[in-house]
Amino acid sequence: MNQVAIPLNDNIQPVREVPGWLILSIDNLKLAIPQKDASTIELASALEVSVDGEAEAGWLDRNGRMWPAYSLGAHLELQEMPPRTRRFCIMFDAGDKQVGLLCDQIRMLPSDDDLSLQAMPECMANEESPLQWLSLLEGNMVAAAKSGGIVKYMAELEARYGSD
Amino acid sequence: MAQTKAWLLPLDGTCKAAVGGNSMVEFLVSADINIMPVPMAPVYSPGVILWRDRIIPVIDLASVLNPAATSLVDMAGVMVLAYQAAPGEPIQNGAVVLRAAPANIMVSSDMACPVPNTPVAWKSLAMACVKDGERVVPILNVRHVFSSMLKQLYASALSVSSKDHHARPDQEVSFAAQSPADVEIAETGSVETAAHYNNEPVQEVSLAAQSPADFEPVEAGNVESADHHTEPDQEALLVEQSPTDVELAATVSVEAAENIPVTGTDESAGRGTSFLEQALARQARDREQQPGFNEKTDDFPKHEIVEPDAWTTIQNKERGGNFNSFDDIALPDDAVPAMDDDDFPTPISLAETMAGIDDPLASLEAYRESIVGSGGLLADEVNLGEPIESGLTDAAVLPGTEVVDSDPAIFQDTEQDFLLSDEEPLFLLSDEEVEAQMRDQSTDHVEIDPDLPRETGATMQPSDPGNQDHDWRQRFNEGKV
Repeated sequence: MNQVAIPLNDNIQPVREVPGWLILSIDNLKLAIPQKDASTIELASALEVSVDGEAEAGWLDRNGRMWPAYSLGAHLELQEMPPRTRRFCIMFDAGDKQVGLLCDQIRMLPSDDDLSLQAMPECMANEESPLQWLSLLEGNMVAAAKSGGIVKYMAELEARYGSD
Repeated sequence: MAQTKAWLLPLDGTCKAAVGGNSMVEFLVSADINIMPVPMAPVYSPGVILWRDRIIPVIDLASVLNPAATSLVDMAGVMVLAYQAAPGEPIQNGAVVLRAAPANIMVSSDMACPVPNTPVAWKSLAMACVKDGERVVPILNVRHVFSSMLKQLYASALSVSSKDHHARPDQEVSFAAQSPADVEIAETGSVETAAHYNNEPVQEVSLAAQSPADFEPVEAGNVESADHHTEPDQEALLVEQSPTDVELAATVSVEAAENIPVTGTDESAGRGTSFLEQALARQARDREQQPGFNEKTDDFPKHEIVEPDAWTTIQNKERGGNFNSFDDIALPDDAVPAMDDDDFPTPISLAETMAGIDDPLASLEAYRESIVGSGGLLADEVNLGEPIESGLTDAAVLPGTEVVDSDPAIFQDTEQDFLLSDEEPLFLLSDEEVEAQMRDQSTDHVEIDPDLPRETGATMQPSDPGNQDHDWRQRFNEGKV
């Protein structure tokens, strides 16, 4: 019996245009990221621990290439040593590279309309902050950002960390 | 003497400010509010609160005026205020921290006084000032309180505070990475700084001195005018301000000056509108111009926000092309009609020009002939004694244009243009019917219903077993969630 292997259409990876949001819990901060901006979700235990003195909380080995993952606090400050509550790692596409962000929990909102965004109030705006919107989710405040802003912010934190 | 209602806001133990009755929306005691901190928000903003299903910012003005005092321990509550970023814009809300319950006061024009020079931020945050007994109470420009200028004011106040009071380096609180610990560090406020509040000698300036002429230097953008009423030690502070700060202060003064009526400011006659009344009237007008505002639901029409890039894309699509630069924009060949040589004027030779100069009479006659030959009129052919208006006939009126006879009284009675005039006011600030009429025009605001079922949502909890985490994560990575 001759059998020919036929590739499954499900294996074809189209460009991700997934609606909805990912709500990342970082301590008491709820950070909303568009689902389409997230590449993969990894377990924090899959990261290779970085050496002391590095800004990265760990490194993700994917196909022989190492991608950095960072840990931020509730005030978006850089954490060299991630707390034990950081269980997951969101990987973002940054061009031909990937960058990870550790978080405690991840909640998925299937629709873009699940968050009613309002712009950051003018009097609270900070050009250094990646946060662009605020929203309410079940009575709690959610800060929303684009993954590009988060990646850029983490890159700036790392550069500043190196200069310090 | 016209009186109007205002609210006295205790910003801290010694500093008070006032707002017009229409700017005040609601006072919330601290036990009823939950201030949610926003990461990387400025120090003077402890966070946001949930008010009527909306997120509104909370501003601690005391920390802007005195950066050394940023403690919320003695906070009594927050006052929710309403403002418009610009006339015609939707009404927005924000809250300011109060250290005591607000008080209702009646203000009148005879209570007006100059805005205090210190703290310097009052120059931008106050639109007017009143004297409540011996206390000087600035009237807040609510629009400025919730604007981006607050950051500059705070930075200026911080630099002044650090220089004047030799603040410790650890009191330099940065905007980034604000944490509760940062606030506690800055809690060691010096009494000296607090002594600035309202203890400055008040310059007694009569209302008669607030004539339009006093505001002309400010309106002209002259920085010297900002120093006009300053004391010597304050001149140094103003010099340290950035040009933007001076400009902002001038903006406030200009806006206030714009409200000064050209005539009818005879305070002795008791029928003029004062600086204070105009400031409060401005707040009322800003609120009035909102097309739809409902105090119960606080709903406003939603506006579609188009990003600049998206707008450019839309424009490009409408033009049928993708223009990235001016070089990409080219006119079609037939856009400019071809011109023959006859279309260009014949150049005048140098000899002809010299002849015209040598013989002025001849050149003048030639000029007259050229004018008459072209159908033009010379000055002596025009009957200047005839009124210009009489030359307009019905035939000169464009079709569809309505001819309105101007009433000279409109241009003479400027007092009627102001809200708080003693004679025939348009409406009073406390007119509830007008407020209710404004608020009935709002539209529903769409909010997320937290009770909606979210079966498709999934949550990854740390307590989940590892296998479930793996399955869930794998499904997401395969795009099946």
